Amino acid sequence: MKPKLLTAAAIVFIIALVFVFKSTVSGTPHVYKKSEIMMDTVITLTVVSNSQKKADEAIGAAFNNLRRFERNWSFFDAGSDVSAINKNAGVRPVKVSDDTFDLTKKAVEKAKWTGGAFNPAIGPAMVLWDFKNKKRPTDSQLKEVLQLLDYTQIVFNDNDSSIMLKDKGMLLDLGGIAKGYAADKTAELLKKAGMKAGIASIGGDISAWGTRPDGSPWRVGIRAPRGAPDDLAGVLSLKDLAVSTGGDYERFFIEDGIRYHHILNPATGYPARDFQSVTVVNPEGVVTDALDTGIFAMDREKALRFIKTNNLMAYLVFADGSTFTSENLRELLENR
Amino acid sequence: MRIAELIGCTTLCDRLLLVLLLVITGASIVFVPLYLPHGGQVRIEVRNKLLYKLPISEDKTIPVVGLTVEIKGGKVRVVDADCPGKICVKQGWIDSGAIICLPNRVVITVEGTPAPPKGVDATT
Repeated sequence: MKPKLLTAAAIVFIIALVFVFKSTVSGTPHVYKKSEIMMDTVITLTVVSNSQKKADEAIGAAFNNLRRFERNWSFFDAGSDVSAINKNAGVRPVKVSDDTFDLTKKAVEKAKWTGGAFNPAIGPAMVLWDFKNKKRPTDSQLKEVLQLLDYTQIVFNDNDSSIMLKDKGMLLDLGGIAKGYAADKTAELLKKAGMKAGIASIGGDISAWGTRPDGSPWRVGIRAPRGAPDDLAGVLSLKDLAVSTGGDYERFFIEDGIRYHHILNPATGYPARDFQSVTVVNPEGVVTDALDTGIFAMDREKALRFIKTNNLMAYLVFADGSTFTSENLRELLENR
Repeated sequence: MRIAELIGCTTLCDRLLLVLLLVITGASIVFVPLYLPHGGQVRIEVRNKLLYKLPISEDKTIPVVGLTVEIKGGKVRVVDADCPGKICVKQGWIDSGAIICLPNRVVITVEGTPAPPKGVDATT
């Protein structure tokens, strides 16, 4: 082989190698997934990336941020912002982190929007129920706390980011909205880290952006309320949308044939009765999370009116097992 | 042609190219695994701390807090669990995705496998 020919062959080989290396490293995006148990639920973060290293770094940073949220919003952790607000109910305002201030403000906004059906002041009624040990409060115990479930008595001071519950005995409970808000913030963080597509799933509160690597929308299953945990009532095709489902199957016990579950009607303190599950789809997770609880707490007619008036995308499973799909969701929902 | 004669008739450019090729080959061996997903690993985490990272190709049965985890034939399952619902046991064998036991706070993940194209990516 002549030297010139050898040089030409080597150059061709290098060019080919560079192309192969480039297409291997950056041309084929992969799906990376990691789950952790946090905020009393399973959190799964899914991203599409060309590099495992970048995906791992972005997911790690997102989990660190979620740990911070957990510390701020836990109802039970004595050191959280929420515990500090509750401990000082009727005493003094409490300075909180920007995220807690923003989330609580949004929670009160959603309470006003739903006419109090979603209620972040539900705490005093919620603590009377023990779903794990199958214990329920008496009628008089519930009646006693009803006047404390007044979200209009949550007072904000924008100047120093402080929050105060005006009446002693009030308890702020962000459990009905925090996961959806966390899904939004996590999706934002992962997008900023260069993840062009993914899913932030905080329990059943999901924010999906971009598409799968093959360009198709993300597929999100809606759990069948009375089936096994992996039985699906339908599958949603989502792109740049959030979804949440509230169900009477999440935390519950059955006594004398009656199902007592964790979605309470703030007007009575008892579990809401008209639905098995409520699924809401919207660009914002903070909206879907608050509204799945809020709509669930309404009666059937009020819920349907609310969905129509606000042009919401919703899928409802009524207490008798019949279903309703809003017209604007039909294109995205494949029933099973 | 003997190797000494072959080297003798190469130019300086040929030799530089040869060195460059060797460098690229070496770099590929080091860097490509960093960028590509690591397939076939089973991660077992308890309370968000990594306890085991095991090859899925090696059959093994291991106790993990209240669970018994079995790896066999490129799949993983929870054989037995002390939690009330035993949802993790009912899930059966998996070769992608994750098995999660919330009461025991255990997450078992099969790494490096893409999302199933016809299945669902998440559940609400």
